[in-house]
Amino acid sequence: MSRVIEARGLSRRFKQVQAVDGVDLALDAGTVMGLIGPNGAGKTTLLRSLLGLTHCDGDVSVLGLDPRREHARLMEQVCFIADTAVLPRWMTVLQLLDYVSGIHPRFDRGQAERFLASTEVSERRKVSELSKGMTVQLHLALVMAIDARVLILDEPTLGLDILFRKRFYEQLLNDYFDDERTIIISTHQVEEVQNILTEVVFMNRGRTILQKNMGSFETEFSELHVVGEATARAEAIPHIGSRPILGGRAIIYEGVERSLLEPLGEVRTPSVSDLFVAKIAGETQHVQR
Amino acid sequence: MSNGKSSRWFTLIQRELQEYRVSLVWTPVCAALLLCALVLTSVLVANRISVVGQAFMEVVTQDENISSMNITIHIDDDAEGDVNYKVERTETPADEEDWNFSRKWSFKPKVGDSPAPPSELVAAGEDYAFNAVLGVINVLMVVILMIVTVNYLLGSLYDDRRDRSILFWKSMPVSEWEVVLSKLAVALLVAPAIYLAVALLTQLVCTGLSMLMVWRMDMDPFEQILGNVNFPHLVFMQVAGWVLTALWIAPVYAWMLMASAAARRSPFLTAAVPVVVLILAEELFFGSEYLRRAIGRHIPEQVVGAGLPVPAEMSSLLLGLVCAALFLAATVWLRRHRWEI
Repeated sequence: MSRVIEARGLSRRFKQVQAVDGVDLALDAGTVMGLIGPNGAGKTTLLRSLLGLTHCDGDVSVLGLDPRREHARLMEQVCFIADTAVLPRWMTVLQLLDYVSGIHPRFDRGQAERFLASTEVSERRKVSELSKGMTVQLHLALVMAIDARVLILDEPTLGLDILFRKRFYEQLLNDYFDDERTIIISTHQVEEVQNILTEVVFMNRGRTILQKNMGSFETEFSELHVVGEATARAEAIPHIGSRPILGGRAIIYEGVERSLLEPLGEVRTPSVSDLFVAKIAGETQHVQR
Repeated sequence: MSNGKSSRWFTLIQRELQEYRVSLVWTPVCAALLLCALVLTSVLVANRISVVGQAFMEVVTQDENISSMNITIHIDDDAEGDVNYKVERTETPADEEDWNFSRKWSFKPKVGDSPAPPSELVAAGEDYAFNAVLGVINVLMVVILMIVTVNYLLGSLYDDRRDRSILFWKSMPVSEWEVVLSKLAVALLVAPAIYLAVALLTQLVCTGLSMLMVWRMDMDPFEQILGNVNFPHLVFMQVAGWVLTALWIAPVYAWMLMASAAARRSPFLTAAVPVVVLILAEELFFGSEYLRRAIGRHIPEQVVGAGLPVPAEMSSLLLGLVCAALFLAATVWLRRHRWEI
């Protein structure tokens, strides 16, 4: 596997806020990374510095290029959707296709047209006449027809309904992803992406607080559902978070043998969103102390 | 590779023409149609109202009157968007220093008193009075062109930042140099080419209509009109005139691109305020007006006439081009590092 993204000590400070604070990141080809964090955690700034859209301190290399100096060259191999609804509103779909096929050496127009044929987006319409969902579909169709090695999606489905969101990720996984490509998705709608991720990064206050392969999730984290008197014993074991469930508590442990927990109750692998909540809550308590 | 490169530039230019289709394509066409309609009306009424026809013949055939034909364009500051064009004939020769820093532009086609003609072709043109009449069409088109271009330049690097579509443009493998240069190329070459071509077509149509009018006045259209017109000379003057104008105006255009890339609210104020402040500060503190004069040289005073605007001061021209290059470099830097509003 080849190293695709390498960042060391990435920092970016705006006047009062340390948006990104010493982030290290290393990604290989064939990964789908979920970048998960609350609003204002620094996700967008981190992704923009990987794309060379913003200045930052530290070392970054994407596909062996410096994104700040070689932005245009990098964009031949890297695609991104930086936000919903950034397509130029005055353009028609046809003009947009003309533009991308004239500019992008790796764009397959036929493929984009096939993607669009399966949607309600017709080529004669202007972007401003499309609904938000259709605009995202159009953008995704353009991006998926580009034979890029890295795809970065920053909150790509914000404000879309659940049907669009599900279809978006299905399409991404089925029609686009392969071993050669790397995808980074930032979102706070964790439930919808957790099944397609191979790697997960939690971010809070500009720092990464967790960086794990989804394969190691099962062995590292466990969630115990306890009821009755076992609760006190379970809470005595060092844990990273707990929440009330019907009639008892759900407690999440990191690096605790499952055989130790099994006598106390039902043990399972925590969902990414529950782990995220526990981690962020733990962080906040830590800071308050 | 070179094929790929030229198709890239074609795509970039095509994009600009698509975004500003109304101002860059439809405006000159509509203006031309309006002019043709005016001429057609005068042809239709000419032999009924003999004064019109007589005035027309005077203009066509007499050199002396041409030099005192004046077009004044008042852009009314009070009524926004309400532009009044007034074409008037004055008997007294226009004042050379009629240029005024307010938004009143004066254009004087010069035929009789132009300095030593640079080529035989130019010299040949002096005998063709009808060329000057047709030149008026070109002057009008260039005035519209400049208003449209200023609007284009001030908006071109600001609108995409405001509606955030810059995030899409930046996801394409196009460098900011290519973006900025393609916009300057549209302002200096592509848009003028469209406007000059439309002006030329209008001139051909008007020549035809004038021949019709002369014929209806029972005169020989070939002798009266075609004998007084020299098309190669007309085209040469208009194209060469624009090339020189473009060289002079390049720093002004580059400055506007920079203002457009730097603006957080109003590109127009970003472009105008620093200049006005600097000029006033210089006059206030040093009592001199070098800056005002230096800038004044690069603002179209007499854009096009039958006379070729010969660059009187080479150093001012070169300094302007150096400034243009600096402004462009600053524009690219702003696009890379300060694009967020």
